[in-house]
Amino acid sequence: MMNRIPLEVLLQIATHLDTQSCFACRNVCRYWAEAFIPSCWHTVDHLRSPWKQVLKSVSLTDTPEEQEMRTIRARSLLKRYGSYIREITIRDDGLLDAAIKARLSRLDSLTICGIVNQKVYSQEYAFRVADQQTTTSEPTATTITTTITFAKTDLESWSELPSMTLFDTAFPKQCLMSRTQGCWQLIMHNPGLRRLEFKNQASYTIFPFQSFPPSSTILSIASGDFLDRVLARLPYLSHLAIEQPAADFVFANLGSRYRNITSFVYPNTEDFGNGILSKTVNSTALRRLKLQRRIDAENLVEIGRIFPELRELYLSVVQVSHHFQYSSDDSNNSAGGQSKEPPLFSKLEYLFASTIFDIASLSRSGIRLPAVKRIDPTIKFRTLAYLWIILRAYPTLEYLDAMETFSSDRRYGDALDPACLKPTTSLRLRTLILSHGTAFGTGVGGMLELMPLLSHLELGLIPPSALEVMAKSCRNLEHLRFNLEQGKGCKELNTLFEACSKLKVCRGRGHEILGDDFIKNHNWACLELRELDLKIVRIPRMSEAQEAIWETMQQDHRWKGNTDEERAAVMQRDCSHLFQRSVYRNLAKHVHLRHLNLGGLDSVQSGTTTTDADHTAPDCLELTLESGLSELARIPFLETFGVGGLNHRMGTRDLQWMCEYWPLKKVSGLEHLRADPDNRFEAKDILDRVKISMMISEMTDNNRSPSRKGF
Amino acid sequence: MPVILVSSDNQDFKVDKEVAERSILIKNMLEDVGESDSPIPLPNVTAAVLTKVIEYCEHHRNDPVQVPEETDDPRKRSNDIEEWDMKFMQVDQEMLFEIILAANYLDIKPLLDVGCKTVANIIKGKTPEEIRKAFNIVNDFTPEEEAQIKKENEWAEDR
Repeated sequence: MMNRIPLEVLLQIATHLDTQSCFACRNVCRYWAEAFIPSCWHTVDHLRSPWKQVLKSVSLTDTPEEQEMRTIRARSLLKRYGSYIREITIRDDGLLDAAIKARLSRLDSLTICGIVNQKVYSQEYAFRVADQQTTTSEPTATTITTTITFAKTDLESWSELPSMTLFDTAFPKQCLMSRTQGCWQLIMHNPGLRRLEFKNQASYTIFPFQSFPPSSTILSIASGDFLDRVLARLPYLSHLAIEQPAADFVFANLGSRYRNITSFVYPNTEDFGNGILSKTVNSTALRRLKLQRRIDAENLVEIGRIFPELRELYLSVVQVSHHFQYSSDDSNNSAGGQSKEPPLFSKLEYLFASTIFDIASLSRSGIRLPAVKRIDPTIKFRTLAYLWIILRAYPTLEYLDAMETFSSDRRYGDALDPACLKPTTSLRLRTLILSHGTAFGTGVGGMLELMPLLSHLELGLIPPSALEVMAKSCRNLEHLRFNLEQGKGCKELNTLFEACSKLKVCRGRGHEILGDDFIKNHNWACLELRELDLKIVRIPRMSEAQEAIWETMQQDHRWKGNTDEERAAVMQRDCSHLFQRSVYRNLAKHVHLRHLNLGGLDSVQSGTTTTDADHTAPDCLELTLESGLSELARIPFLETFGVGGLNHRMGTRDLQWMCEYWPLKKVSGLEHLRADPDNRFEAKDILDRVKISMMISEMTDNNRSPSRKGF
Repeated sequence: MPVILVSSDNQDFKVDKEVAERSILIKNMLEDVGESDSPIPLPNVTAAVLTKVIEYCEHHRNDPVQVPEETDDPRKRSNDIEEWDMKFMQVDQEMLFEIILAANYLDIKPLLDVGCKTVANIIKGKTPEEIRKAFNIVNDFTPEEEAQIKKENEWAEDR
């Protein structure tokens, strides 16, 4: 059947697979071995499979033979699969050498990092290219006007590199010269390049020119000329990251000569002091700009004028001096009568900034971002006050991720929620991510009231009253994460599930619901739930004494009680199972569930971990087939299942059932699994057979944030 | 206005034009032919498969036309299949591949995409032997070829 699948369809399947799976596919049959080659060898990077293994040194004390072996292996692989390679990241001379020798010519993306790993490959191997002919060309002189221009000369072939005289004599080493030539040779062989990046001082090693524009020596013109000729050979190039001194040169001409470059990384904005901005040609082509290091507000205004079509802007640090106040021409008009300037950053939708303070001070200094939809600060909010400032300043925001990755126990207290700053109209926010590690006061409810469009919300510890607000105002919620104090908010949580019909994910700690509420009038609107953390509590169970009695009875193979005590135990057991079966039935209505954690995780109580005794109280689900677990067979796609922290009675037989009915990938909280007397398998064997990673420890299934203290 | 599609086993299917035009092949055909009520033969698609494909197109009749995305990373993540689509794809493997082939032939990009994702999800995390078993593929390597590829494979393993 699979043999009839056309090649193009197989290739499309491959785009959805990770490298490891692609390699597995190559092993399947001859047809697939061919079909999956491109996807296996698409990307070359030391840090990724398979090249991580190919190029990794086995030990620190590699013998020259071992190094030699690795070089040969890398070289032969590049030669064999070179025509499939589209992306390459070069981190050392050996790989650069191998890439040139393999005549890679179909690259889309090339990243040249500062070449650090020289030890591995001996210099003699580098860049011995058989057909290399070096001709020298005379540098062409020209004059400098306000913008940087240069004479136009054709670059006949890569070998027409600038002559030795152009290079800084402080770099006399032959190896550096050959590295420079090697880099340019590789670039010139790949006219289809779309992305070109020089990182970590790479430009210094490949541009060892004596000086570069805008200084006024003749030599510098030639080196700019050289770069111009190189870029002219790359008509598809749309993304360029380059370091000084070349960066200034390209940057200044983005609007004139390099209009195909729509995305540019400027290495050091402190260099704006050299007046480069005044020489820069306005550009309507640039869509994406990344500015590294600190920038003054004045210069930022310039950037906004020069690149009116910017969609994405990445800022490192913005310095706004106290006296600085940007005023658009609206205010000047009456006085000066100047022509009206269009507003700055009118197309900017995405702003990445290091600190939230910068964004706040931007708005204070009058630089508006009228179309901004998404802001990503790396240093996040400390207080709700900042959140309000941002939201007031940028009412167009739709996406705000302000989760603090490293947070001690800071609180968004009510004291820090100045009502005067609060926006008065409802906001457009669809995604709001605040720190998981913080505790919110009741003020968070007032915040949520203003955000009716929210579909993705992540918060820390919240009071139950916030749940009521969500149930009332945020009916569009799809993805939700928050923590509750243990034992609080059970009713409110139930209301939330009844109100938010679009809810697909509801995760977090301390989510509890009462068994009674869950089975009586069960009326959850969210029938498309996929991920759920929920502990169902207050379920009638046998007391420990009764369980002991029941077990003795079972050993005697008796099912009916003889004494009053035994009868009571049997009665209690039947009651409990009846109750639990209806819980399972209601749970099974959510047939789309892929993740279900019935354990409480370790719930939060005012920021401290609760004692174990609390959440092992025997009032939770038994999770045994006798108690009705099999009702959950209606959930076909369950992949992760958590029962950590529950006082369940699950045994190996129940586990085996789960593995048969669900495509489980992860099970957590199996510390206290009961061994069934008549079962041959150990829990580990069962899981091994179906290749499930068993997580004995508590599942902190939170990929985004590292575990924090005080949790 | 309804369009009549004829399957390879000569069954007629009457569908809305809007639904039929989910298939770029049919859309182009209709544009070329102009206003005409003559049935469109689809010699590569059986009635059983065409029923499924029409079911898909009916459900997605109002979807916006997909704009090719400009993403930096061509390797999209594969687990995000819509709920309805996921259920729709719960068919035996024979049918799954028939649907993929039909989507490819009829040029219904989103359906092809869902099909490919479904297959990719089956493949993910499996060993070659498991993949063969899953898709009933015969191992036609010579021992030498297999050894060679295995060797390369070792590099892909994350160690």
